[in-house]
Amino acid sequence: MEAHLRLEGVAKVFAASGRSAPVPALGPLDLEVRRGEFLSIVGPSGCGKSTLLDIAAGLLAPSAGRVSFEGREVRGATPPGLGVVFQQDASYPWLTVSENIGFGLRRRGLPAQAVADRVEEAIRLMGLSAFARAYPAQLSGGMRQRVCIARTLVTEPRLVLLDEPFAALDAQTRLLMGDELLKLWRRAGATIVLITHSLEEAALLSDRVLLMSARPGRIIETLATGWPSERSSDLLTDPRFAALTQRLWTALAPEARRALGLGSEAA
Amino acid sequence: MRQVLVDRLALAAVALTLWVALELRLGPDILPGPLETGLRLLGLLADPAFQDEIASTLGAFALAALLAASLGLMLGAALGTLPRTSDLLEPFLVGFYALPKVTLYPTVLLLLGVGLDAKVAFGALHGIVPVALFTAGGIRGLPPILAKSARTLGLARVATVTRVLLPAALPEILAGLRIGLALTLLGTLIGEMFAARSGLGSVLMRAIPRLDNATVLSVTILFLAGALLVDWTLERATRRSAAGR
Amino acid sequence: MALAAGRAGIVLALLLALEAAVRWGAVSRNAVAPPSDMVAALLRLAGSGLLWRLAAPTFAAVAAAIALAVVGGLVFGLLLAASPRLRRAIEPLLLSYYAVPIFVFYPLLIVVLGLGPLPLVAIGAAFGVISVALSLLQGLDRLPTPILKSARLEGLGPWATAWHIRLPFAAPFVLHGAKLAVAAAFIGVIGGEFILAPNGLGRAIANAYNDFDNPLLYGLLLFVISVVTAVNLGLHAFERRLREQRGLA
Repeated sequence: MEAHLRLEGVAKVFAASGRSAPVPALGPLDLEVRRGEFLSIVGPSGCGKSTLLDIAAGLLAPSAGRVSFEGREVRGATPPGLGVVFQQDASYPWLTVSENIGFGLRRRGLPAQAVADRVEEAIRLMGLSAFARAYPAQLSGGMRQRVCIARTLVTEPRLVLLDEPFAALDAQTRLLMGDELLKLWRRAGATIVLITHSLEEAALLSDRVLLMSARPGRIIETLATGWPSERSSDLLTDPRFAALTQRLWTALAPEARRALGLGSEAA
Repeated sequence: MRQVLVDRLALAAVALTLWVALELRLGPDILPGPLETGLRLLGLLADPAFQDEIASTLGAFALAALLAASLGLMLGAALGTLPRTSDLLEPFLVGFYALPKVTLYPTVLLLLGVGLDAKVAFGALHGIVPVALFTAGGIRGLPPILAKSARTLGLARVATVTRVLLPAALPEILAGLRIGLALTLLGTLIGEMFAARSGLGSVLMRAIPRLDNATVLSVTILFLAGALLVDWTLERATRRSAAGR
Repeated sequence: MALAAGRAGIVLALLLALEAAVRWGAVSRNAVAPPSDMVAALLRLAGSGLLWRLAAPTFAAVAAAIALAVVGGLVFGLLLAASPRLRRAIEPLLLSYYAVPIFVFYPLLIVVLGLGPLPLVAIGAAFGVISVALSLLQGLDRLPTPILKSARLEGLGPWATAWHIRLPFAAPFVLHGAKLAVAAAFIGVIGGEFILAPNGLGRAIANAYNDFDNPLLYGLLLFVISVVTAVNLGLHAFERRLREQRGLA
């Protein structure tokens, strides 16, 4: 089966500025995302996860290598059919919730009625019905992130890149949002790439987990979780979940130490 | 750094070129050129009568600035330490700040008569409010632990304000003085332009009917330079006091 | 609500105190009119139609100055935003703008533009052009990167990004600059008229002072203060609503 998203030999080196030397930030790395899977990428802080996402989305040009989405090279612009949700709040403070969610659809020139219908459905799905006419400033951080997710999903992308979308939320909200994301994934049948620093989140949500090394980030291991597609946060109590998280941490701990500048035998 | 300097010189050259182009377009009688203006300015500065006018403006400004700063500080310290009073009164101060205060000048004149007093009072009237608002804001922004610790040291209320709160709020107070003194200068100028018999403002107004445009331009430039000098001095003081934290 | 009542009480108390002070001779009637006479004079002025004749040129000049300040300030601000080099060279100078006593330019403007509405509009707009430009820059600077990235995801080009993303985001900041521009337009135009102009409210106030016509002087004074305060309060309320909507506190 053809790869939905493929990165070949991708590397990023940030150019020297002033007296500082060039900084190798990422790779070189190869990566293949299969159509319809839920893939998580986990790595220590500063390993270049967000750089990887920017490159995959066509927001940043790689220093080397190539990216292709559905067989076509990604270059300089985000290809249609690819959606992104960012870590930080990217809701538009000058638009209401429903205007925010409809922004991309209106730009695509859909008839007003079709936009309104799809926006209404997305709002209902995200549990934002009571806040359709509210402005982002009146919402909690979790609700704002749901607005951003809805704004991306409403355009029905075939592949969604999520960059630490729940990082700003508290632990319980994160679990609930993860369940919602799984439901949406099953419903829409889209491919999902989730970038996270949370081992539990990756272990719980994914079909496959990729582990990245400390900067410059490379892929050091790939793990299949073996979960059925009908899954939820109920798995938290499953002994396999604990074993999986343990395996992930065993592989990642040396990298996390390295990222912090601790020796391998420290701790 | 060097590029910024070059760019600024280039902008100054553009401004001078525009000035000369405008002079050629309007004729030197309407708009004297840079050279003629510079010569006139030098001539005026050497003239003892003109020096008296400068002294008159400076004296009035110094007095008005002193008044605005001291009254503004007192008012600001009171507002800063009495939050409920300041909630009640601040909208009036902000409203007064945005008012065309010229319309009040006749009242000042009727109360004080034409002369030094009126332009001093009018200048001070412009400066008090910003000094007070910034001082109050600065005091309110201080961590409450400062006032508490002063009280544990046995300082009385007034001493707490003068010894602890005002020094701690110095950067904000200086920022308020920057705006307040600029407006004080504006108030003094308006006073001189409308009714005074001496000072640079009255020189300007006497030059207009004589069509003495070189004098108008020279005094404008002189006044501008003085205003910017006051501003930059205070700006440096503000930065130094903020850096000391 | 209690605060508003308290403030109304203060205004009332001050007016009553002034009334009493003038009526009982503590303050000379030649210097200050009692508030009741001010109101009566204002009503007479409004009834005779004189008020409107005096105010029309002033309001026209103020409106022109506001329009010039907002449009000119937006253009100037966009120019600076588009050219970081120009911005680096002159922004430090612009930041001292409030230190310039703008009225010092008024005689020069009369010399160049002639005695009439033009120098008034120019002096009324001068301050506002810079406050609008600087507030626009401030708003544009604060645009969060994720919002900008999301615009690129949508495939918006530089112009579409400016129109659909940057300007709407900067709007509350620009409104703040525009509010300052409105106050400055009233101050500049009325102040200019007061010093030297063929007509307008400021001129009428100066004339009333020269003619010892205190009822006219204080009627006009009351009118100017009421109008400007009402406009400023309205803008202030509008700005606060917008800032609350945007969560800018």
